[in-house]
Amino acid sequence: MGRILIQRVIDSAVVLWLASIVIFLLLRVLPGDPAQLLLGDIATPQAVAAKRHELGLDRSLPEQYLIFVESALRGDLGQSIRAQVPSVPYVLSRFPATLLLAGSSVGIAVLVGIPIGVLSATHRYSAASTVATGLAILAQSTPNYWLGLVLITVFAVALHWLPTSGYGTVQNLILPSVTLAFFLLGLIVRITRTEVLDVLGQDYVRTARAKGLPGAIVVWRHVLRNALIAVLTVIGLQVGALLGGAVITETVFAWPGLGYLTIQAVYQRDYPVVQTAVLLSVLIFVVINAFMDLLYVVVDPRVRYD
Amino acid sequence: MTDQSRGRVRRAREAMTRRAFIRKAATLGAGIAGWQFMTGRSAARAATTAPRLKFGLSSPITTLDPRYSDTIQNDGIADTIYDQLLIRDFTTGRMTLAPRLATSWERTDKQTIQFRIRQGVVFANGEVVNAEAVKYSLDTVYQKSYGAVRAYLTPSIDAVEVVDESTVRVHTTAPDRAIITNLAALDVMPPKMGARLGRGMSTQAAGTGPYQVEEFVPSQSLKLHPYEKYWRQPKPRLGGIDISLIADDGTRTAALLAGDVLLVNNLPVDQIDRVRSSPKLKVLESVTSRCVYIGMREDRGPLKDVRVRQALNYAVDKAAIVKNILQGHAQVANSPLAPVIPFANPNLKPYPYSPAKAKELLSQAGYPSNFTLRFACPTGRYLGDRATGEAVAGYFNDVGVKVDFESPEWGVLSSEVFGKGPQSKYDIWLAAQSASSEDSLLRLRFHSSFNQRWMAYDDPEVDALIDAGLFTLDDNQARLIYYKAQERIVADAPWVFLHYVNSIFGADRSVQYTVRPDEYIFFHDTAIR
Repeated sequence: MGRILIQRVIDSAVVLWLASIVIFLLLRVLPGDPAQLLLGDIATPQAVAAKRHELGLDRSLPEQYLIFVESALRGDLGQSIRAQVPSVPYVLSRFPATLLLAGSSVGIAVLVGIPIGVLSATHRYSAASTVATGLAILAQSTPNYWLGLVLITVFAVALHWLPTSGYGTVQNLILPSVTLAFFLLGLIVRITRTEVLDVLGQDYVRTARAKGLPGAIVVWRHVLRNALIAVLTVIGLQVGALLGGAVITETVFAWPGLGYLTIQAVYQRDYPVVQTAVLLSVLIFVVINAFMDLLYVVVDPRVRYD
Repeated sequence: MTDQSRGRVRRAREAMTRRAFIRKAATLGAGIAGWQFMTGRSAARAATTAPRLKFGLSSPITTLDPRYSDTIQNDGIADTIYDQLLIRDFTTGRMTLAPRLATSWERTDKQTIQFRIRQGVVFANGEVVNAEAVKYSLDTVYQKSYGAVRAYLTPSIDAVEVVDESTVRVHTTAPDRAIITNLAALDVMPPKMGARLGRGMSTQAAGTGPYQVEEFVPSQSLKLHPYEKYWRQPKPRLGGIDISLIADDGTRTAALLAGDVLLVNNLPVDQIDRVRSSPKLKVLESVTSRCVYIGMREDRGPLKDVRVRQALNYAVDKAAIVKNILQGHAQVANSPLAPVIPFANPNLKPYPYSPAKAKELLSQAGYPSNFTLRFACPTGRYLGDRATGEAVAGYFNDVGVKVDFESPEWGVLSSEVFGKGPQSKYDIWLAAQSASSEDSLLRLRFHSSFNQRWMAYDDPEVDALIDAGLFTLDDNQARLIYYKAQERIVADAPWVFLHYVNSIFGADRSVQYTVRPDEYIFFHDTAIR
């Protein structure tokens, strides 16, 4: 187990390093000058040049990258060009909000989606199952932005049950997490249903039924654990993406998460902030993947790592 | 049952009770924490007595240091925390200058302005406002080593001298009539705190303005509370101000409609009627100096010819754009300087809409219908920008000019048009420019030493007029010079002059707030009835 862990850590470090090179190069290849954008179009070319020099952007790319790596190893990923604060705490301060939103959305999607998916598989020929599948497809096709504004208009503006936007209380969390959960809910219902249907057709399930085991136990002990492997993979990928920040939902609900911060930083070409945010996202993906791999071992006893 | 088993049962029961107890305690604790979390904020709010203003702002406040702020909204908020030597006053409808931390000013010679500093004003951290503080505040802007964003306002300053505790002299490299107006944009900041924190002033502030910082989360929210030692009348009338970022137009309007906020800026044009018709809300509006225009590279083929540029001005129905796209919330431009700016020329007429005249000029210039212009138009940066750009492209098509329309993201547009200059892939672009003084817009946009890279506009007579205007300290003479400069610029048509957009806010009817023509956000006189 220890050897696996060390291998994992090394792999993750390599992934992070490669990601840092990619994002570093991509940002500097992208048209748009952070100094020009900060000073505005009324700035003289001399002022822009002076600002570029101050930010170290007039040095050669390899030199800039080496400086970046050198500070990064000390935990310093640079200073935000706009906010003039160290970028690591600046980006990390947005993480709890993103974590809360992602966690609640996934929670809603999983707690509602899996039971619906299972039931629509076990009662596959019922009307409810067809309706559920249809609604799931609808949920997957509904645009985030539209749904968010509709929910705000109905529940906040018209009914005054919930606040329109913002962060801080449970009421603030409800509409954004429902909006974000929608797509994932649809996806989970459909995948769960497909997987469960597939497993229900297997021989060992027939054997279990033949043994006289009650339906619920068959589903729980034999079917679900096998069906969940595929579902877990999907959830893992989605959670990784959500933890990188759900830009549209965060913008619509003024939710102070990573997504909105990152997109603003991209528009402003605030290189240090974008780099920090992207590396944080990569790190999260890596951690989640590792976690998912561990979960597979729990869920599927056939899975072994050597 | 044996003793052993009885003991086992007893221990098992105790263990269960322990487990049950722990479970109950945890649930109770979680319940209390949850309850506190949910009600905590409302309890805290109930404790304050004066009403707080909740303000939904459309763009993030990234820094509290006005010297490095990047948007006019950011500037404006800083100007509530800090005071300036003097301010731009629009109560007469046209900009004049009124004293603030400076009680008076005079030109002791052509290159020196002397300011008398108000005594008895204290910064929120206890430091005193005096000549040293003013010197510090100006030094850290005009001296290039600081890299301040606002340095574009002070190119002519070469020294700031402390004469005595209450007197400061500002020296310029040449006579400069605009520098006093430009100083209205510079804030007076505490020198000891500034020297100690340096760039740390981006997250901490101690000013002399009516509201000081209670809590600041960069790019997210800013809470202000009234400054009990504020030196001016009226004393701050709000219990506090909660500024939160609500970037999405729809959500910001919804927040106002639902009563989550009492004031929003940048109210989208298509929501104005909805807000107006609500019994609890009202629309607050002001004219501004923000001139929306189509910039043109004068070194590209047909655009070299002034008749072509004039034709493009005649080709566009500017009144129709104002009426239909901006719903009347703008005024057709007759000059790059809007009427609120001193020395805006009221005698100039806007180019009338005349496709016939446009075609005539084009054929006179030898281009009846065979050229294409590559056009970059931003989306969502200025009020109605995309729709206006598309309308303009349509009008150009009507007179035979083909348009390759693109809407790149602003960073890309800016790097092409302003960065690459002569190698820009665009021939024309849509943008807007506001004027902090009569000099700034004309100089930075039309003087050949500034605009060469992005417009290649070079008219020696215009250059001479702009320079002469700056050096002319007598108002009446300066007025004539500026009128002539605008006349010349409009005739040269380096831009298609479109319109001046209004600044539109939405508010609860109980809010007393004045929208400013310079688009700064001042809370000095704001109150909730």
